[in-house]
Order: sequence, then C-alpha cells, then structure tokens
Amino acid sequence: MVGLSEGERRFIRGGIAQDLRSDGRRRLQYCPISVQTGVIPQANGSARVRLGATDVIATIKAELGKPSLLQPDKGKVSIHVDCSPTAAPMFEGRGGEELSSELSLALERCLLGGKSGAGAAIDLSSLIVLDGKVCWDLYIDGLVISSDGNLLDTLAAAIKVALSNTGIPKVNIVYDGSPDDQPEVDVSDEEFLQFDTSGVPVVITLTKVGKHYIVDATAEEESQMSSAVSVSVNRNGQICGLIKRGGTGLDPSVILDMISVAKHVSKELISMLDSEIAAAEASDDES
Amino acid sequence: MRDLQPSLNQTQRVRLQSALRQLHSLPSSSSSSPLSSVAVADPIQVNHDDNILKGHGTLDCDGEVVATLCGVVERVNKLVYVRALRARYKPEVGDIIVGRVIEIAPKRWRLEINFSQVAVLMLSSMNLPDGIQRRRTAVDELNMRSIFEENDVICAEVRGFQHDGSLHLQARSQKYGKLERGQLLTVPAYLVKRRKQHFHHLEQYGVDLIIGCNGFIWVGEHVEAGENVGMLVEDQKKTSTAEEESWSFTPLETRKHICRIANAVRLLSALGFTLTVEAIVDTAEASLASNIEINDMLGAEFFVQTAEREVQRRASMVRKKG
Repeated sequence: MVGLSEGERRFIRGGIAQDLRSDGRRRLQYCPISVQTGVIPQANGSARVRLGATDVIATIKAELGKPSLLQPDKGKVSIHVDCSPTAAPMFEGRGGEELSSELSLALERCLLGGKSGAGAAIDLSSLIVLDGKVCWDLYIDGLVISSDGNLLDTLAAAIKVALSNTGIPKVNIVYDGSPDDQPEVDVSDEEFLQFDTSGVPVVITLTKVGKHYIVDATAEEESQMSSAVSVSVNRNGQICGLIKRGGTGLDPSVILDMISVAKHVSKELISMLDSEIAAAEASDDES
Repeated sequence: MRDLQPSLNQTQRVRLQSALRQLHSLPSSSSSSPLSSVAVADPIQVNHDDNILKGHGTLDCDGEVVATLCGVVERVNKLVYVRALRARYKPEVGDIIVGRVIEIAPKRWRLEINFSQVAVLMLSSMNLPDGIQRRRTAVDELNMRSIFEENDVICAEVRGFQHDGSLHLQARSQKYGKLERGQLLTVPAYLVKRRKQHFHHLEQYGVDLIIGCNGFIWVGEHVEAGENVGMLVEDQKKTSTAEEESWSFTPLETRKHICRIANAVRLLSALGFTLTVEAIVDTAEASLASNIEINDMLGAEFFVQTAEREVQRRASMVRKKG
C-alpha cells in the first residue's frame, strides 16, 4: 500500500465529510459489482466477484466424510481464506497469513453460527447422508486476487454466490452393514442438490472516518479509518455477526447507529446480489 | 494501477467492439511519414551497403536485420532500432514529472516516479521557503523535512542523468513543488505524450491538472503559483482539530469538478486512449451535458459512449484532412 501525503489525506477526509468521495460516490454507495459463476469447473461451486478494484474468487468443494460424534446428524463446513501475493506485495511469503486468518475467522462467525450449528447460514442437517456414518464436508475457500479495500464484504458476497452455484451430488446408500462399518455409497453423477441461498447473510463493513461512516472503502480510505464495524445481516434484517476492528474506542450509541445504517444498506446489497445470481443462473440455463 | 473493467451487457459489448474496430480501421492522422510497424521476427528493410548500426530491439539473423520487439521502426542517421509501443516510462531531459517522496537522504530527497530507478531531487535544486538565493547550510539540511516529508507528492522537472543512469530532478521554478488539495492518479506511461504544456489550469472548473510524463496525473484545487510551501506546513500543524480542519476543506463545487476530471482520466486510461487535455475536458463536458452522476461515469453505458464519441471525432478529423 503506497503511502499518502498529508494533503491527499485531507482531501479524502474532506470528501467523506462532504459526501463526495474520490471517485464521485456517496458515502453509502457501493462500487459497481460484477459477478461470474462457475469459474472453477472442478469445484462443486465457484464464483468470482469484483467490487470496484477488489477481486476475489470463492470455491466450494464437497467431500464425503464422517460426522462428528457430538453432532451425528449434521454435516461439517469449514471456511479458509488465502490472500494471494498477486494482490499486494506485502502478501508475499507469510505476510498475508495474519490477514487471511482474520478474514477466515470473521467469515466463520458470520456464516457458521454457533457451536451447535444453530443459526448457520447453511442448514447443516441438509448435508447429512446417513446419521452418524456419512455426511458431506463442505470446504469453502476464498482467494483474494486483487485487494483494494473492503475484502470482507466481497468475500462474503462471493461465498453467497458460490453457494447458489453449488451442486451436491445425490448419494444412494447401497449397503448398510453393521453399525460399526462404513456403508457403501453410490455417488450419482446426474442428480444434484442445490442450496437455497436466500437465507445466506451478507456482510456490510462500515468504516468510520472522522464523524461519518462510509460503505465499501477503498484501500486509501481504509488507511484513514479510526475504526470499522462489520455487520452481517440476512434478508430478514437480523444480525448474524458483528466484528469491530480498529484501535479507536466507539460510543455504544455510535455502534447502534452503525448497525441500523448497515441494516438499511444491506437491503440494497442483498437485492443486487440476488438479481446477479438470478442473471447468472439464467445464462447458465441458456448455455 | 487500478484497471477499470465495467461489466457490459450484450448490446454494450457489441457496440464497444464495433467502435474499437472502427478506430483500428481509421488511418492514423498524426504522422506525415508512414509508420512502419513490425512484430517479433519481422524483417526490417535496410540498405545493406551502408554500415547500419543495429540498436535496441533488433537482431542480426542470417545477414537479415530482424525485429525482436513489437513496435515501430525508428531510424536516426545510421542507427536503426525498434521502439516498443507499451514501453516503460523513458525519461528525457526537460520532462515534467510528478513523483512521491520515499526517502530523505543527506542533502537530497529520493522520489518514486514509475521508472526502473529512484529519482533524486537535490536540496540545492530546490528553492528555499524564504525565497532567498543563498548557500545551503547545515541548518537547511536538518530542516529538509519541513520542506518535503515522506509520501509528499511533488512536481518537478528532469534536469539530467547521472553516469549510473539515475535521474536528477530540479524544482527551481514557482510552478514546481509540493502538491496538496487533490488526488493523484496513475495511468500507463505510454498514454501520455510529450506536449508543450503539461500544467493546465482549467478556469471554468477552478481545477489544476498536471499531466506528468511518467504517468502520474495530479488533479487538484487551483493553487496560485508562488504560494509559500513552508508556510503551508506550519498551518497544517495548527489546524489539528476537526472543526478547524472542516473549514479548510475544498469547497463542494470544486470537489465535484475534481472528481469529474479524475473519473474522465480513469475512463480514458481504461479505454487506452491518449491522455490530452482536450480529450479529458471533452469527456468531462460530455458527462455534464448528459447529466450523468459523477460515479456513473465509470459505469458501462458511459464507457461505451466515450468510445463511440472518439470514433466520431477521429472520423471527422480524417474527413477534414482528406
């Protein structure tokens, strides 16, 4: 990230205060979003989302596994994010690990709900094949190709779109032996289960610069932030996750205000993503 | 360099492709002599009787002179070389450039200017804040940070090259110096051609536009040449509270114009068109005329419209000449 001079920083702060950012956006306006599905054919589901100059790819791979002993009727999901060195020079080698683990943890909190799986975006019981024996393990991977701020929002949007593109093969249980043995399963190549992603939440990150909040900050604007609150909101307006970054303390009333602003902005983002998902599905059906 | 890639729908893609095809088919109106463009492994026409010097981008292959780059053949007396079209920035003496300070070294500043090496601005090539012409003392050297700090954006001129190829800059005139109150944009250096004027004061917008030959473009509020750099620094240190800072912000009208011009530059560089003042001002005026929101200038529709407008402009120029 190139440094900014004092004059440029004042220009950015002045723009945010006057509701006209460097590229002409309002404070609560998103960059043009561009969505592509099915970019990685080997994965069960994949999506590439471009939000301004930030570019991420999310892939979903499903493998058969054994459910955990504590929750024999639920499948397993794990999320991992990787910041590619092509995104920024500081991600070379092990430089991106801290950011990657922070993003993975934030996404797990927002999308996977509690320890028992309650409140998760994906219904884990739908991943079970045979109680206690066979379940689907979902591996969600995010790859940051180009980083220009607002990585969390873009990754969450990419995961939502990738889930809508995911097809889990139907499994027929061929032979169910004694309770200790693993049953034989027949994974069909033809039929697929699709996820209903209308319940998957999106993440809205509000960056506080001076006295105002902005949505979808660029890397330059993020360098000016005092603190940032990422709120995960689903389509019913319920909060699924809340993360605060940044060193400056915030008054509780400010946090409540930011949550209500995030709820308001989320409606627009969810409808934008849903229409992009529908458009991608329509073009898939045509081809 | 952030690449703008708007998502175009089918009709927009078709329109853009047809516009780009028409631009390729229009004859180039800039040169008087025909440009001989070559691709890799194309033979170059040379008169084998003379002792031709084979320069950059050429190779002697079985007695034939063959190009190793894609570009344009240039001939200077006995030297034949191939100049690549998308080359890195190649500085020449007298170029106006915009750079960012990355280091302060004894008696000099080191600037990043999108070149393979770091450029050097000597303390002696810089006017002192009090304007007096005098010998630089040790106190001046200790106070270098009060003139330019790290990460400051500076406009300067190329004074010359050192024996090791590094660049020396000078900022003696009043129009050079620190740039504040605006934004810096980065475009590929080959889109900026050398012209007579690189400093543009757009009066109808109240905006300063400095097109650096190295691909750094500064768009900012208009500052009268000669405003004292040193005094500005002291003012900044005093206005630290938010209320005092808010009245020193750029006024909204000027800011709108700055954003429009900046988006015009981003758009033209994404389309790959040469950046000239006329093109930038035309694009900004067209956006004002069609009442497009400032941030919609980076959207798909205006992207395609700008390409179509360029086709019309070049077609009318060719018609005027022919």
